[in-house]
Amino acid sequence: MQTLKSKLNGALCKFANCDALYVNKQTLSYAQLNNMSHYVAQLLDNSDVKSNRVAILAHRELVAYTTIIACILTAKTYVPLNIKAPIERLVSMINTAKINTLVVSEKYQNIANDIKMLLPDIEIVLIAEAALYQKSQEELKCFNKWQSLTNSICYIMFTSGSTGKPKGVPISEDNLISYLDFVIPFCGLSIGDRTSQTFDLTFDLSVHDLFVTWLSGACLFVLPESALFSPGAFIKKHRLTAWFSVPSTGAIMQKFGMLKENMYPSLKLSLFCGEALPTNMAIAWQKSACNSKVVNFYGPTEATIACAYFKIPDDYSEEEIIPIGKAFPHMSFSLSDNEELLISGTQVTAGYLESTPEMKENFEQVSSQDENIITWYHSGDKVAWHEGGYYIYKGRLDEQVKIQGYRVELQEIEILAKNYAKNNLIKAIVWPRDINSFNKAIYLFIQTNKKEKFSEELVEFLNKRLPHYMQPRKIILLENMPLNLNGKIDSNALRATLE
Amino acid sequence: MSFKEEAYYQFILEKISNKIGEIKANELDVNINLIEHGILDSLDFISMLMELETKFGLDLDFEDVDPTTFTSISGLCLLIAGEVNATS
Repeated sequence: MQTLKSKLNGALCKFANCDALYVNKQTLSYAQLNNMSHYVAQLLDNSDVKSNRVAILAHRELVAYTTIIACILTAKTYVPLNIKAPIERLVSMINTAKINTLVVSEKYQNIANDIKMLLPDIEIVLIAEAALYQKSQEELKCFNKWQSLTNSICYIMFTSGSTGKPKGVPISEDNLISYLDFVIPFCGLSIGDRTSQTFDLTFDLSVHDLFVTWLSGACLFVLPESALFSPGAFIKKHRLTAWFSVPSTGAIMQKFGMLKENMYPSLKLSLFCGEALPTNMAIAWQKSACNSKVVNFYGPTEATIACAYFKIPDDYSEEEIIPIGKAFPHMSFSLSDNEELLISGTQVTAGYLESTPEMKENFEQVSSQDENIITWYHSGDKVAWHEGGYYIYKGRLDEQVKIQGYRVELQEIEILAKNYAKNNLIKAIVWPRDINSFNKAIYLFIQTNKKEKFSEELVEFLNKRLPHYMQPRKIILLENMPLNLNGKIDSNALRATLE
Repeated sequence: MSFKEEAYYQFILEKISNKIGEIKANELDVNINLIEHGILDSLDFISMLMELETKFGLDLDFEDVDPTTFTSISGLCLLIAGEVNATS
């Protein structure tokens, strides 16, 4: 089997004169990207690297993309860090992933310095964009010394954990290649295609954008932060041919007049993933992107990007819900007794970093008839099998919610708040409840007789520890927490106070 | 008349104050991009737009609008001023 490194190297050479990346109003060819990435690879090689894992602190800029390519070329694991996350959370991730090298762009040096204060041993590699442009013109030297290197883990992504600590999910090269081998032909992109990059790099759906685009010879268009909630003009201006985002983005576009009929004739492929896809939005999208097929992807980070798909038929009715679809052909699905979707196959991760016994329970080992051990990942998603040949999503078995596609364990927020308040009568809820709402946010209820100052201090405490999408929109202090007949906190009564 | 006397300006400033505190909000350059500078994230911004729609009876349409033109306080006020005039 060809390694990702050799596939990527091959693409960078084969498509040398084609456009590869549009970021911050600059367009780069594959040759330029190759030169820049080799320069970064050299920097990483020359630095005093003690570990094979590289954290990246850069956001929607060239430094991030060239560093990811450099990591692949030199068989290192890349770990994207969220520039909006609090320092303590970043430090916890760096420790969990045992990272010794941190690549930072000029823009986020202050964050890197803060990290260095807490972790004096970390090596910081500052990469200036100007230096990258300078290298883009230089003739590429060949680096044979990297050719023999192999890497088991390609990237590590962190997701919210119900134990109060983010979970690190390592994805191997084999996991990722299994995904790409199916999805690249499925997408059918080639030279001249222009693909979107909407996802933050800390969201594993971004991995699809990068490698599906570059291994196909297409050009990746990175949306600027402020175009993310209003991408209509960007799609038109750059005549994008392939789109991939969370459904929330489409719902926002629908709300603000950006999904009128025949608006985006250039699109030929539209993918959605990360949360439930509302039928009325998907239909509006289909009419707006009149030449595009519209596909719903499904899959947890633990099973590499996505592992099920459903192509929305042309004549789909508003009344029907959109299924998560059927498993990719090389993956297997099964249902447990309580309707939980179990996933096995080559895309499933080997397990979390610093796994506790509780976290290991998510991966069930079963001996098959021919005595091979099969790992079934317990997704926590409740699904039903439909005779049409696909699965339908029915909700979560735990308290995980999605905010703009990001997984949020409400317990993680509650545990932090309980520790701070030294009080167990605390409940986080998400509102509005409608799974199709893109304006969902977290509200935290606390029973306390303390006054408003307490609320301000708690906000500060939580904001220092949680990423932006997990920070409560509002903290509500109650004199008496409503309880149900079982003596548990009554979430419905709390929700009713927000109506 | 400056947009600073308009009710929607006060409303926007109040929303930003909730996020970064009143003092900082008042000192903010009205021309900087609120999202690129990390003052509001896109979720905050959308929720503010929806509240503006409800409060001022607007129906915002961004079909051909370049988002960078209305992600500053001044840009957003200009956009709303146009909508208010169109609907009144």
